Amino acid sequence: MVTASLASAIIRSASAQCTQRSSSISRLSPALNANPLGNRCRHYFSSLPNDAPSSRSSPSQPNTIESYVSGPTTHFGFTSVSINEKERKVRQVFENVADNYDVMNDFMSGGLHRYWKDELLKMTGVGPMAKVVRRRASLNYAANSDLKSGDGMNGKAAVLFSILDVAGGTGDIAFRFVDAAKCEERSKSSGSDEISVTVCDINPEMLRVGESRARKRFGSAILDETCALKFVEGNAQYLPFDDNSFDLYTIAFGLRNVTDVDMALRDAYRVLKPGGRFLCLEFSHVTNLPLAKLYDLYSFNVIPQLGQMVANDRDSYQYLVESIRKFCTQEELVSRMETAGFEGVQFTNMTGGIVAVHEGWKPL
Amino acid sequence: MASSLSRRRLGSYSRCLSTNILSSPKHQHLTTTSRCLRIQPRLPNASCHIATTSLPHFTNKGIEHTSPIHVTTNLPSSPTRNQSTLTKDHRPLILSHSLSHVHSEGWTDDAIACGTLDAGFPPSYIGRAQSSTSLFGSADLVAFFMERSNDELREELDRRKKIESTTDEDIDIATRLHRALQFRLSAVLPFVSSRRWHEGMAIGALPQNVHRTARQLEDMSQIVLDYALCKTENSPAVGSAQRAIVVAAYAAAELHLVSEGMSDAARGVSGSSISYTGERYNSTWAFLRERCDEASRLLANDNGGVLPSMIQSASGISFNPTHLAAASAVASSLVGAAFSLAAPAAAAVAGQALPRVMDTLSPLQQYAFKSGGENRSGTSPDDYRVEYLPPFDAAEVIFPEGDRKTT
Repeated sequence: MVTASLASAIIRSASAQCTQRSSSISRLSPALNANPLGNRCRHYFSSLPNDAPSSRSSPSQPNTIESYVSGPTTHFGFTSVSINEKERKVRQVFENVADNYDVMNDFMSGGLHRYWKDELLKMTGVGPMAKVVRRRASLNYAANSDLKSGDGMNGKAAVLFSILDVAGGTGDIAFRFVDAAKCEERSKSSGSDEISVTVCDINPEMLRVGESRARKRFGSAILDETCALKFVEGNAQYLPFDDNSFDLYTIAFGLRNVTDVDMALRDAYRVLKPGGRFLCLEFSHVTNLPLAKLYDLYSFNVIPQLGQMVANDRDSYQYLVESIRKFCTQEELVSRMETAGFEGVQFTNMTGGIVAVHEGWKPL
Repeated sequence: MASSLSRRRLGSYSRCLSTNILSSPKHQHLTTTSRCLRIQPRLPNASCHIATTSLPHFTNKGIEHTSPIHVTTNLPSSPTRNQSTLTKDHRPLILSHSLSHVHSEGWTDDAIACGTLDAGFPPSYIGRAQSSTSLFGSADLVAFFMERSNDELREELDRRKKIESTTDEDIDIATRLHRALQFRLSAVLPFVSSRRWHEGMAIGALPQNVHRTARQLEDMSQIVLDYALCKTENSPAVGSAQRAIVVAAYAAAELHLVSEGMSDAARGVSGSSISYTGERYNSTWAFLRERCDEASRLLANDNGGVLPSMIQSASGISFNPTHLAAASAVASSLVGAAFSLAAPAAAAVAGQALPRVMDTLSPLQQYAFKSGGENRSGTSPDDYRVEYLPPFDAAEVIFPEGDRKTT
């Protein structure tokens, strides 16, 4: 098992992605050693020596939460599939729903998803912070005018506040960030921007829809000239970005579709800068009993019907509803985030617990 | 960690200033000047290295009071937060840096953003100090400021109690109340001068914040009463009625202060310079003195519960001391403020309406002893009786031109 894992480690390290990740290995949490797992490349994480320098939780603390994926199968809604299959099936679901995704969101949540996403935006504080960052950057520019060409690359402004929105294919959250940070205005007036928003999604169809919406809404300058908004294809479990490259990481309604949540959390930890913030908006478990009953009735009876009528695809929406039930509870996700290394982890329930926003910071 | 170090430096900075400057107890003016130095716009990075053996006060109490606020309401759709597992509480540091930006940005998240960057944190740390549920402005800033002012008041009054126990002078309750409330009001002076405090008051009075503000005002009045009544022999019980009296006096004086700050701007006095010293607001201090005299008489007259029943029988409305005190404070302060600011000519006209207004004033006013005609300082409605005013001369120039101060 050790040699197989070393071999897979060598193969992995040969690929372009892993050259960046080798430096992050030393910061992986000690809890990784508890992964008993099967056939995937995650083996090589578990066999590497435990290098626990800056970990927050003490090594003696028992790992009471099991790893998200253990054994060869995992849940896909209420059925069980092999791990390899899950990613393919999730991809299939979202390819099917991509075109009608926004309409279906409105139907399913009764328009509440807009309110939830607006609350997420308010919690990030991007609007005020972007304003202040821009003002300070311009003051610096005025004060140190000799540094004009030295900032960033090719005389463009250095990016001071970078945001990553994972699983945000159609760009709902990203557009809110762009509006709050006024990146469109900047793209129309000058060639560089201190704020950058990157949208990462596993599904190229969703990205296509998102990019066309962005072009219609903001124009092409923001995508082509200032590159304040970028659409990148990638997997949340192994993101195609450097370590310590983002200030803010958000994932809205995407974490439950990831095969291994722990891996996604660890990669989020990797790509965040020290002091960076992780925010996750996700369907969660309703605490209020009567509301839970109503919610179940609505989810299992109304939503697949709606999917059949509007999108002609009952099964995808059945999966969506079932995956919500199989996802972690609020407290479970908090402990997973703490295992991944985040500090100051807390959650905020909205609409009685139907959705919850979990946040955590990477230690400075 | 750098943040705890800087937090300790911050505390020791304010401490070392207060110990240096307030060491001479007789200088009452220096009280207000020292507060100006404490609320500097920029705290230097290399702050003073005076080692303080005791922990800085605001880290102790600041953290207790500014723990993450649980927003729990009955509506199922509003956000509810669980207890956070913050290892280090960065909120006090960020918010204290933000307060210096309130003069320019207002009580908003912009000020918190500036404070976050000033404190040396990365931009994502704005979430540490900001709660997402504020509608019109940052209730976090206002609440933090109130808590901090209360903590500073407690510290200052403890210090004064110690000094007074050694000097053994006999100070009456009214003077003690006046000193305590003047110190508390002087915390607000910079914001009054930059015309931000009325915004802060409005944010504190929003429905979602009013409970917290009321609790903070009650805490403040408890602190003030502990100091004011510490030398009385029979040590009367301090109940909610007594606290309401102090809150009423404070609220009246605060409104007077705010209106005086606004009227300065209207008269052309430069409002862009932030005034830390209290000399510009002498009429407010005189108004406060009047209110403290009334309050001390009420506190002395009240034999535990007699006052509430008197008021209830007089007015016939259901008695809630806080509401009544607040209403009386507003009514009396508005009348008082109006008369202190109006030109004598206008006051003469209003003097006709004064007796009617007196009837609608709160019952509390009726029980206070007024000092008649000989001591007319101009801050009570009685001073503006028509028969006491000088004769009105149409040719009199009240505000001569060419006398304006320029910025």
